[in-house]
Amino acid sequence: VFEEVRRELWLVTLAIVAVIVQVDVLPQFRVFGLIPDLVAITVVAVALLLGPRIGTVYGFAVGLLLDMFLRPPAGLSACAYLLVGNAVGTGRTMLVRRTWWQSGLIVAAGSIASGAIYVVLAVLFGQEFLWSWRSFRVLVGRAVIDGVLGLVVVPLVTRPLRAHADVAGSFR
Amino acid sequence: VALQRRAPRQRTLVVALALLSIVIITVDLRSEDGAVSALRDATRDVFSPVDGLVDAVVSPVADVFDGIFHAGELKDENAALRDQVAQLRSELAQVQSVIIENQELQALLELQVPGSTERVVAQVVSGAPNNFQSTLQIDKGSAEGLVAGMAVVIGDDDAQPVLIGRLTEVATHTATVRLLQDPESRISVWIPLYRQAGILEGEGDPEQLSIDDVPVRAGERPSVGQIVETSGRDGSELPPGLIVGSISAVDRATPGELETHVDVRPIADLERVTHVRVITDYTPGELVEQGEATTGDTGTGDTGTDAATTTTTTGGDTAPTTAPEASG
Repeated sequence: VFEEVRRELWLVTLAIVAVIVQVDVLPQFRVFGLIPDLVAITVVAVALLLGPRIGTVYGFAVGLLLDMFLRPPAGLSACAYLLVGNAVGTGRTMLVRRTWWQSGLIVAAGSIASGAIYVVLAVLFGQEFLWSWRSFRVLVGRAVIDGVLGLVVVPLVTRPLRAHADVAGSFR
Repeated sequence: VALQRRAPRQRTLVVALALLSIVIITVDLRSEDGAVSALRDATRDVFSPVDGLVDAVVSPVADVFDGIFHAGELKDENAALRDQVAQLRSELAQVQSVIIENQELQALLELQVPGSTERVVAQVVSGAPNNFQSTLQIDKGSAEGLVAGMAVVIGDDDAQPVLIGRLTEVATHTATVRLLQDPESRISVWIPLYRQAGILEGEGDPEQLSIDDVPVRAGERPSVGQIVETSGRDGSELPPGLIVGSISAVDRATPGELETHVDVRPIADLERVTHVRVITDYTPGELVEQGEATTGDTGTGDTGTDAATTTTTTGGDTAPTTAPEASG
């Protein structure tokens, strides 16, 4: 029980820090005019290590927290990240062998998927202007940046959680 | 077996949370001042001290980062600005006498001018958290008298204010500024030298805004370099005379055209703003009535105007598609 509480505290801290950095720090460090998506990177990292259930719940919670700082309606990021958390957590069983570049590739895929889900939901809920070539370019460009960042951030995020790592393929 | 048992529970969790997200989205869309909005305001207020602290720590580092990655651009910009300063100094001498004359005339007519309005100074604590919106967070909110819709400008009290956007969401100690470049931004504007009005729209690009359907007059089209200001007309929430930008491109003329498309480059560097001023005491329509009662035209102060205007509503602001023209 103690271990579980410790893990959950770490996840809550991670979510809050990720959102603060996303909201207050990263907009000042644009790369080629694009803001990296640290929140998506942490969702992928958590899902890779702890599995689909925790990946889903973490994705929903951190997304909802981020939504509080975004243009209404709230819930768009929550939905996007929970789906990505679940997909990455479920899909990790397909990884036969871990290599150093895999986390970058998975983060890039997670970034583009979460962005695409966000845009589609936003368009469905009235933000039609997001259906544009600019959004497409942003998603692709951001995925590349996130992929590179993921190579560094994923090991950093997962190191304190390794003791709680779920056995790949099993659900807690 | 355990995997097979847990898979349906897994699906249930995903479906339940996805449905909850959809419910939150719907609730937030349906009620502007509902529970989600209150939660948003409370969260922003809780995080606002952290925003200020992080900004104070990160800003110097960000400046260094900016300097490293934009050194070439900054060098070119510096050279261009030196040329511009020299040119502006010579123009300033000519303009000063006109300003004094203008102030005297406005005092005579008892007009409220943008420079005389009350403003609350605020610090920008963060930019937009993602790439799909163009907003800023400032460190002042309803406790300081800010209300959604107010104009947000930069520039000294003495200078003509430069509009960067307007407030959209206001919490107790923080507020969100929707920048001009945001695709949801719609501002009623006026091109004083061309004497036509339109709706300025953001396109997500910090260096390019656009006005569609600018009327084309026989033998005359808007030209590059002309200044674009807020019109303050027909119930616009923004005061007139706030500088927005200058025309950077006009669509090529085609035979028989009645309207054209204009690109506008913002005056302000919308992504590097650190301090802003919020105009707090402007009452929409006030100045328009005064202007129309006295001169018939608030944009130029021309006399003897026709008032044949057609108002277009585009969701954010309203503007006459045909502005009054001097009849001479």
